[in-house]
Amino acid sequence: MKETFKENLIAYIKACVPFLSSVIWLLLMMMPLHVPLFQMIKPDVVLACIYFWILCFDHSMGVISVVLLGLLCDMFGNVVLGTHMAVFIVVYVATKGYALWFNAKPFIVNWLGFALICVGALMMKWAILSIYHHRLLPILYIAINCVSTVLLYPLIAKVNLWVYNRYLLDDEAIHEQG
Amino acid sequence: MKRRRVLFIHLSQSRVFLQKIAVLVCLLFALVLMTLSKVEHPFVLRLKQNLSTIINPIVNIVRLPSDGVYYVYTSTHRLIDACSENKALTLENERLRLVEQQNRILKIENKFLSDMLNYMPFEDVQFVTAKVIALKNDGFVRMLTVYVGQKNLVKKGQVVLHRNNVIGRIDSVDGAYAQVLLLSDISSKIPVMIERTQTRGILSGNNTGTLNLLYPSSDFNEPLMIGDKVITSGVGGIFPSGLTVGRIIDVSTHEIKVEAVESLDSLEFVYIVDYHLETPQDGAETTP
Repeated sequence: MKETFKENLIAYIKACVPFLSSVIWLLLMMMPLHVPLFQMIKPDVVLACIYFWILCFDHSMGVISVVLLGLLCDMFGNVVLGTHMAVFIVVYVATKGYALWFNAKPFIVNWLGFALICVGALMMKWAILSIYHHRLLPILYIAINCVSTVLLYPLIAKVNLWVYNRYLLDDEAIHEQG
Repeated sequence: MKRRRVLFIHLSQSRVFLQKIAVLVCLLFALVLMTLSKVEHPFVLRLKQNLSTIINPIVNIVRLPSDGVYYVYTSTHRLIDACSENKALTLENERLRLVEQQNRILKIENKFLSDMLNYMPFEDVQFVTAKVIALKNDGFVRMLTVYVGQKNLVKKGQVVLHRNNVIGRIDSVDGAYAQVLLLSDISSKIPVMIERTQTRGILSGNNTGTLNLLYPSSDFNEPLMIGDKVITSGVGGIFPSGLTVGRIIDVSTHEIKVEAVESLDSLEFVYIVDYHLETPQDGAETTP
């Protein structure tokens, strides 16, 4: 009985690893750099994490995790509640739809795919907030956000891949066998 | 065996259907949240307040390592510059002594003239010094999160200053933390006046580094010039009059651009000032 409980607990914690790693990335990005130029560069790391985990280990990045991450991003970013949530859900659906196609493709293809998703997601966020404020938001900052997010993706993917190999690889094999 | 396989196919189909329904429900929930945020529904305000009380302390902790490194860097820098700074300060001190004497004379003259005019100054102006814990300064939002303590001295609508220049106003207070809506935020609009010409207008943020002066009054024929000082006009009762906001940097036919006096790059502490003016109610328009 005790063994089963322990195994269940470990399995549950492992299932939360993608969500937790995304939260850690979000917290890291909250650190102020005290460098004037870098203050307006805010890469959307959670977007990159959602994309990566859905491609890599989609069983544990469900829609509820995406909604919770969206809510956290809205709160941490101080934007209108629901904005990130809506954007992430659309990214979730889009990435899930093409996950099979991206499977076993070279990294550069995944990266290009992410660049497209990122442009779409940030344009959607820009459109939502522009409608909300009844004014067009400056496009320059969104472009900077987009470029920095795309450029940071290889690093995020590398770290997340390490997390995946370290904690989740065995589970994935079991899941596929099952 | 065949019946069992059919059952599994049915189960997996219904699971996919449920997942699709869940996605739609979540998307709908997000849209409802956005709509409720727009109308400032009490549910959203309460939800934001409750989540802020959890999230703000986390942000405060997360910035500690970065603040530590920055403190060490600035302290070292100050030590290196101490000698030259000391010489400059000695010279400045001598100059200030002369200015102090002149000020004393002006103060007496001012008191005499104020008594003659029966002028009533702002009395009992209180202020709180608050530490900046987070700065959101991107294309989507321009806000500060500041730590104000648990004494409940800070209220929505109070003026936020840095070195006696306006940088924004309190947007919401969640426990020991307050959100400051910066002048450059797209939803910020404050009534201002050009000091030289007394031209009134509305200063509006646009989520960039500059501000737009909207609807300048045409009562005065004197044209606006680059470098003109912009101050609060006091109209609307949210900001008192005479606080410095910025300077005009561009006077084109389409728009007048203003640059805020205060740079937000090295903001560590701000003053939240209570002028005991009428504060905006929840959901009320902040523009006059």
